[in-house]
Amino acid sequence: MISLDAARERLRERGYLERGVEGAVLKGALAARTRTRAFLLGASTGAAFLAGAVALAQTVLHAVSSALPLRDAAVLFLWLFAGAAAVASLVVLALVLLALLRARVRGDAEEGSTEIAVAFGVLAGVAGILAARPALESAGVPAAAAVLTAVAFAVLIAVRVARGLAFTVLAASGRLFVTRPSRTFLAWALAGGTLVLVGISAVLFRVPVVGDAPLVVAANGRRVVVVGVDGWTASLSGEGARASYVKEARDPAAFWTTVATGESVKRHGIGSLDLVRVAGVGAPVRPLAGARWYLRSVLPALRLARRESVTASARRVPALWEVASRGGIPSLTVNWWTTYPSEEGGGTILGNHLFFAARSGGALAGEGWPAEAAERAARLAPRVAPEPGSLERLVADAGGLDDFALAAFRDAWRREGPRLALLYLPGPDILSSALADPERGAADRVALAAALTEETAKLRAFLLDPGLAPAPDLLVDVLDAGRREEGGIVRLSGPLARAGAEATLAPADLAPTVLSVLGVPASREIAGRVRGDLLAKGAVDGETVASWGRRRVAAQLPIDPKEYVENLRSLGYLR
Amino acid sequence: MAAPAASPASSLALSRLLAEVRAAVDARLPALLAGEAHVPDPRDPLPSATREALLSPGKRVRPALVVLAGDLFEASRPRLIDAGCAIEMVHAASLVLDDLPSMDDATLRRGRPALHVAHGEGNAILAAVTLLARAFGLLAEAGLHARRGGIPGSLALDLVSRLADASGLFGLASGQALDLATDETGATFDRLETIHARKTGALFVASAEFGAVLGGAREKELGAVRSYARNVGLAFQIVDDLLETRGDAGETGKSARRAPAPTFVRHVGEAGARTLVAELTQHALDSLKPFGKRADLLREFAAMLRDRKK
Repeated sequence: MISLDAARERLRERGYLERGVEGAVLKGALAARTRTRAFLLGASTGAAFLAGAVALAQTVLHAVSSALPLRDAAVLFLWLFAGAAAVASLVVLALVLLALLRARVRGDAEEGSTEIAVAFGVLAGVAGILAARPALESAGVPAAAAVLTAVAFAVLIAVRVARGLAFTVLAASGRLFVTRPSRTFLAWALAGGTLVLVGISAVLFRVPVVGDAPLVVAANGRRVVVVGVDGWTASLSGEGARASYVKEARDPAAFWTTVATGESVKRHGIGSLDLVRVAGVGAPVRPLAGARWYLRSVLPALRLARRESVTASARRVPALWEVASRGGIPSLTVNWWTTYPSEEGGGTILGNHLFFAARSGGALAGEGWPAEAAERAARLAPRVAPEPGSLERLVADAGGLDDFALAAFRDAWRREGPRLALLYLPGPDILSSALADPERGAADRVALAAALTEETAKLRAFLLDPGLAPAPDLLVDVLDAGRREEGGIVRLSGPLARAGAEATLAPADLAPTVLSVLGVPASREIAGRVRGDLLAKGAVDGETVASWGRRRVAAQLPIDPKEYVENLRSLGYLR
Repeated sequence: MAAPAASPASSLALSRLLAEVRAAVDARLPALLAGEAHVPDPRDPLPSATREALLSPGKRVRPALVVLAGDLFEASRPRLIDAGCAIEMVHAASLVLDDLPSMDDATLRRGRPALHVAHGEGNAILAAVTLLARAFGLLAEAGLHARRGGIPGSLALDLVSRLADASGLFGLASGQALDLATDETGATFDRLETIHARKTGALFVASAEFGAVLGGAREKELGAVRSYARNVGLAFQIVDDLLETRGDAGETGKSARRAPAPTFVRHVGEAGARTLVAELTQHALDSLKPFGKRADLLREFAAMLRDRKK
């Protein structure tokens, strides 16, 4: 005889009196084993996991890219999860349909679900790599590690969800063989593979930090002026070259930054007026691939976010004035897009909302560089303005901006005699966009048309005779058809323009062409190419350099001051 | 989860299901035994011996377990019945072999003369072999005819593999060999458990696994069902021991000349054995917790086996 306790102990040692595998993990799924409930539970659980993984990965990408503090990242995760849940539901539905189609083909559930999981995992991996690249380009090592981990985690979850869901559907079809073991290594393998590929991608495509080596510039004493006129493509008489172009992006910030950098939108980083202020998230967020549409369109449409004006801090590549400055060429930039906050290292800059800051009498910090130049230019701005929101205000702003920019430009040109100067004149675009607004009444339209006629006449007079002394060797007029149109024309005049030349060009060609005229070797890295065919013989020497260097995105993305954002809204740039 | 209360409604459901399974199995076994297009030779004693071994009245506990486990996963009932018949054939063969003079030397089985008494020892052995062969054969045929209501081929192989394990070196045959080799002094508690786990438990576990596998259970679900069957199987055997303790062939339906092997009752006493039965049953019920109410019939089944009187 043995005691009952000893008997119990013996039985336990031999695998009895154990509770089996019940527990929290299995309980829910097993309790709902009926097909409908199992499907619904599996699908909703899968969608939740998928949404969580995607939202987490996107949160990490955005947090790294926009340097969000932890609290903001947590709130952003919740918003992204809400959006990802909708997308994940569709993905789950697609997976279920795929599994049902697969069930029509012979095979077993193990095999079928593995096939589906592999295909889905590869897709998720590729998407993860593409989504992670922009964030990796400006990330430090810890942030890059976080991005890689998040992407790998998302792929792992995606594969597991795809496999589990497909397995459930295939098994529930009742016609397929269900094997016992589940191959977890598949998910890990795909996640690991993605991790490696993202890592390789990060190494291969990582954008170099700006180099310290000075640019070797050929001294030639030439002067070049670039005038950007938005919303007006006049046929101006006179000797010179002429080229037409098609824009990569219609957004004015994106397009004019391409002109100023010689880079594609994707690489210079100013996709549009595209910082987003999400409800509950303190810092502005730069929307990245994968969540761009959701953050820029869906949440603002639901009044859960609003778009903000992007600033110079978001630009990833140097602009003309910065490259020129590195080469020791004095420059002047007036009213060009995304020149706030203006900083040292780009010659004289009179920023793109100095006019508004000066008119309101507000602080001029960041509105221009150096501060004395900004203060001097501010004195040229009007001190009064019509009632905000009125048509008079719109007309006054459009004309006033151009008047101010022209006056400040002439003054600075006369004082400083820069070798490179850029001037942006937005008046016609503001007026013509307002004119195209179908909600405007007839009286407004008449007033706007009159103002537009007056404005273009003023600009025509300037372009035909800028009256600059000393006169530039090359005057490049970029006459863009405006934010609603696809292209525009470029007019090159002056001694270095090739008379009678006609061509098409890419907007990105302008920056390297202008800098080459000034003796700066062209960067082989950028999208734009030197267009010697539009210049006089000997105007450029064909010298190139590997890179003009790069500009690191600021750790914290500042947004334009609220007043300026309101001005952008009133001028129709932001909705 | 407490042991199920005797709910008249649910007990009725279990009784109805057991009766359905018994009727379906009894109806299906002759057809499966004969095979298609096979005309028996009237001079051949094997078919009748085999038929008698298989078709003698029985509780059909194992096929019932196949169906109950399969219902948990909504498995196809015809598939479950056929799989239960395969299990029942192996069980019937094991009974024939157990009763042989070289083994337990029993003269009564299920209240009737043992097969070797009625048909001779040679025919009894051959009938057992025939039943074993037929059990595996019918699973293989189901796999071959997957598209005509059978079982997918890989699934049939899975069942064959499980049945082989439950019958051979780690199942019935091994359990019987150990039983024969164990005298009173060698019948330790552990040895006794091993014998019962193989002689009784293995086929219980295989039955539950058959149902779960046919229903597409996942590994963890299979583990839960296996745990249930293992605990119920041992409890079932200890209840047998308790019934045998009374030594009444009328209760057990079996009469053996060989000295009975030591039982759990001799190790832990009658009260201890009853406690172990209760605890094993309780743990079997606990294993079913994740399945919720859908496993109620399986719970009642365990309680029924626990409380049986014969």
